[in-house]
Amino acid sequence: MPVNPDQLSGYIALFQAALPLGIQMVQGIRALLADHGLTNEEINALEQQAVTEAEALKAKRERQGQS
Amino acid sequence: MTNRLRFAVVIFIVATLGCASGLKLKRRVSQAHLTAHSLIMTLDVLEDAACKPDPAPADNHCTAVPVILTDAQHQRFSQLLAQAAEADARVGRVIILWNPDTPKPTDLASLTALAQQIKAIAEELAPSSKAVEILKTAIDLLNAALQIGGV
Repeated sequence: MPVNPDQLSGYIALFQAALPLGIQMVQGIRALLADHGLTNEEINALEQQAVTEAEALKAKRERQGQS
Repeated sequence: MTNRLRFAVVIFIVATLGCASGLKLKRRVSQAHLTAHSLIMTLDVLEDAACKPDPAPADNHCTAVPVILTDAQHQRFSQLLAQAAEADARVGRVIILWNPDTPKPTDLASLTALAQQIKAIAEELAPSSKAVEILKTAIDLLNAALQIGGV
């Protein structure tokens, strides 16, 4: 299917947004296979940060999900 | 990659994840969850870039030119992402309450469901961007790691 040049620039912008995050995810998966020796408290602090971010995202996306 | 090397990698993963116990197991489960969490946050950033939602009055419609996502797609995606974020927070709270000296909480089975949920959301975006293929591959890897780890 031919790609409109305007669409192509949109796709390139998306790819640029996704690439560093894709690398970050691969690093996360590699970390899954490693053992960095975090303490229980350090794990809980990271988890608490993730919970806070997830709750903020939930509120934002619930707002955006309204039709 | 030769078959022998692949076999060695699988044995390594099974050995490192399968034998984990106590605090080590909690670390592995937390890493799996934080990876799932970063996937969700990535999908949020990616969709924001595709939609450029208007902040006023309710940012439920897209302003990106050219149009990559319709308002309806943006709203549907947002509803799915809100559900995933809720599940993400729930898994995080279970991990925080988990004393590593006790058995793995049964509630953690929802982590595998969360990975499936993330994949379904990525597939919602898939027609919009080839970049999503990267995310889907990462999610497949995460699922494989979760299954091997018995999470």
